[in-house]
Amino acid sequence: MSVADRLARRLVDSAARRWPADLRDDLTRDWHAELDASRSSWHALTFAGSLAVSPAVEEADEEPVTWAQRGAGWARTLSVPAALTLLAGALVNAAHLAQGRFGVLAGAVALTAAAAVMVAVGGRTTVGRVVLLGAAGYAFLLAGNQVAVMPFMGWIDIGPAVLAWTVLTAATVRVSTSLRVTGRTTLAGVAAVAGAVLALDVAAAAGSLHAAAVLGVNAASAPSWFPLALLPGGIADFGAYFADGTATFGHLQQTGPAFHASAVLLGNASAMIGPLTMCSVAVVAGLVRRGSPRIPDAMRSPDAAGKVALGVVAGLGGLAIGEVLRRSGGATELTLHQLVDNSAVFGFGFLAHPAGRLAVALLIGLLVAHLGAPVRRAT
Amino acid sequence: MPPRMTMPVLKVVAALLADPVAERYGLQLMQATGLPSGTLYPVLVRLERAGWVESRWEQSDPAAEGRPARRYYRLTADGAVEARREVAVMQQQMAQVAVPGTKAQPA
Repeated sequence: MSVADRLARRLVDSAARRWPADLRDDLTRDWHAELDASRSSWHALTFAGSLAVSPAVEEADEEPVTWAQRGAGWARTLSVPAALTLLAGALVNAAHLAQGRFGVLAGAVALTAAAAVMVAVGGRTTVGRVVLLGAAGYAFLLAGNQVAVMPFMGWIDIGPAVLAWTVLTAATVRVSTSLRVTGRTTLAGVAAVAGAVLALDVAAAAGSLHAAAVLGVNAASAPSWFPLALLPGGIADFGAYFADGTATFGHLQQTGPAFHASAVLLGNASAMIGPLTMCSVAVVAGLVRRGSPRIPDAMRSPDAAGKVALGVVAGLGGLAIGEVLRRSGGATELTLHQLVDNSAVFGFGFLAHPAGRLAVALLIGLLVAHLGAPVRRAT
Repeated sequence: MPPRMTMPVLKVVAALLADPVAERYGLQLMQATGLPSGTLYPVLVRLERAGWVESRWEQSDPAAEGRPARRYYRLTADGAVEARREVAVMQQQMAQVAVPGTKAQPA
């Protein structure tokens, strides 16, 4: 049997598992018989491929699931992590703005408030959702620095950070959920918090190793980079001292106050790890709470026209939010100053383009429309 | 409950009505309707659950034939009656669309 034939058989077996249990065996036998009678491997593959991608088969008393409904389900699944990531980035920016304008205390209060918001919106936490959050975080950070604000925010920095965060956070979710299922709820909560902190610590280190190599910072201090990245600048200085205040690292070509290499490393890490920290807060909140946040009844709109209206209004609001975020984005000429006191504001570079602002508006519109829509059924 | 008459359902029903007593297997129906497998089989399941279609396994010796037994589908007696009526209604509606201004006659 050729590789293509084996693949075709695997595809039909996989497709059969999505069918109701009472039909599964007969259909598998039926399809295998048709594969045996196929004229060619290509024919067998198209037969199996069509079954593999066809919409899930409905139960006898339900209407068929259309591609439109499937698309709506995917949009709902994808828009929630994307919106959480966007919200996390915006909240960290707000905290840094508060610190830059009103001082360290205001920054701390704003960061606490940001964490409270993420606790409130943190919904059901699964491994799949963590993976989607990781994907959204990678896209957000990479696209956000298109107007280069941070000196070390390329794929070589973001990739390891997000990968480490995703893998370790997903493992945390798995462990915490297993503990909760066996009735050890306190231990499950402790595991959730400890795992999230470990994931962030490793992610901050993994995402800053490239910067450390360029800046000449000793990687032995890596475990301290995550906590220091959340604190105001100047608390711990290490690495080379640049007395003339001249920075020439990647996109950062500026002159400012005298600084240690650690200021650039930690400020850069802060912009990267800040949104991920807020995402972790939402994940842990979901693990501890094990439920979805309550949606106000007023937001529920059962009819399609209501959902569309809600989505359009929210989308228009999203355009305004995009504009606010764009204007609050980091001023590149002030980057060095802000890195030194760790109040750097992430760029939201994708909002510089109309397509980016439209994407944000669409995302917010979709999300709000779906919040008003009851889930049809578990898929 | 009668199946929802979508275009794929109509194609399958029309193919089976071409010879209501004939039995056909999946690949034959795919060729007759032009539908891909991922569309055909959900339709067949819905028609079978509605009682319009019945299926049976081919009575053959797989060792002698050199291939596994196939599953054959055909219209039930009731299914054939219902299917004819639905196809007629659909043809009438299509004719109405083709000739604007005409009124539908009762079936």
